[in-house]
Amino acid sequence: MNIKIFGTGCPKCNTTYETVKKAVEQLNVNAEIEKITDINEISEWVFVTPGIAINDEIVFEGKVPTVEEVVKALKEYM
Amino acid sequence: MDIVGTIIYAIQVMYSTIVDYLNLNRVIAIAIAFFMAGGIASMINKNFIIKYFGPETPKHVSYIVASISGCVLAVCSCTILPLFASIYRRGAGIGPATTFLFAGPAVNVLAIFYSAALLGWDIGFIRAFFAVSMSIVIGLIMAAIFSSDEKKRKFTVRNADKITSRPGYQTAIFFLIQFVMMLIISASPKLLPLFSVPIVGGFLVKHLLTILLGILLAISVKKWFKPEEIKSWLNETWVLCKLVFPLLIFGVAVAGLMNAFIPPEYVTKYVGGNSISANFISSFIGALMYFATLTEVPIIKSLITLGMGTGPAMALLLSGPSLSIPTILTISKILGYKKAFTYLGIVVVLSTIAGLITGTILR
Repeated sequence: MNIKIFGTGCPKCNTTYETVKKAVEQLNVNAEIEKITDINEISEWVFVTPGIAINDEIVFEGKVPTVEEVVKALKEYM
Repeated sequence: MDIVGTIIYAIQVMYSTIVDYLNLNRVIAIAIAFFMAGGIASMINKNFIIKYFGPETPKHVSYIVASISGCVLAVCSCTILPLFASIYRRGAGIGPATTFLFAGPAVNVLAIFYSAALLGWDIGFIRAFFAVSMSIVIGLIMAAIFSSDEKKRKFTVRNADKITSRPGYQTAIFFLIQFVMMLIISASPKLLPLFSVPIVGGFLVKHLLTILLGILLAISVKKWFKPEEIKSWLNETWVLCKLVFPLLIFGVAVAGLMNAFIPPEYVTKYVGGNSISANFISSFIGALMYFATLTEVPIIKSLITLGMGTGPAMALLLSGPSLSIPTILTISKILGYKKAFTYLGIVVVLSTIAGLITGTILR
């Protein structure tokens, strides 16, 4: 499973990264977590940061999800 | 020079400035502003607005939406650049995209209210007016200069059907109540003395009205909103509060330090009065200097006390929030150096003009 987190490095984006890490640990799933911080690359994927894509499909855009929400999303891809 | 003594003095200055600043009415107004901002962040469907940036939208609609949507789309200033990059690269047109780029940080509801509260309603209003109108002019100029460069890409926006999941009137009332609360609590004793009439001791008419409106708000929220919407609202409010309130305090502290340590002669010499050079210097510094959200207001108030002219102050208010050296570098990565520096030039020139006009009409 590949998880991409889109954010330029602001506090919200870092919180999103931590949330995803927690969710991955909770489910004990083997996932590669990438942080995309280049603004031009981010703009190809989402309009509003922070954003999360699982296996290259956008699952969250423009909000910092809770751990439960990320866990729910991850389960759909397991 | 007594270093320890100076440091102690500096800390005393910062402390007393902050304490002076945080009087009851201000704290209440700030709290309401955060709740409103949290409401905006949690309830407005951003995608509904973003779709208006698409290439099929009539240009006049795109420009108007771009100039005022910043206050709704990006309550956190870090969202503006990625959003700008996206809409530009997907076909929004350089005009509406740069209008949004400037207006996003400039048409910030919290900042404008804060400006009005600290610097006067006339300055707050003028700031809002210029922020919106300048952003449109900037966009139009950029579109005119770079007319040959129109990217048409995939501009699909997901989930863009409704602006809020609540019925429109409920959302409108929700925001209206808070807006009125904020107006009442910050009503100037000079302009609207009725609100400052005491009922008992320090408890004024405005406090009673605010409490009554607050109860009304709580009742309507409880009645209309789902629990997870309420939770989301309060959560966004808290996140913003954690992010912005320390900056607010920091801005006030820096302003206090400036008041204590910067000699007024320097300020008056370079940015006093309303000359072209005063406005230009102010505008230019604003474009380069980084101001974290809301910090520009107490700092500019401090500069005014030290002798900065009203015109140059407005120039700084306009160019400060939207631009800084790091922002310019990021914009260069998105637009290329030529467009980025053209944008910078237009902002500086227009801010200077806006400052000159302000300094003339506000004697």
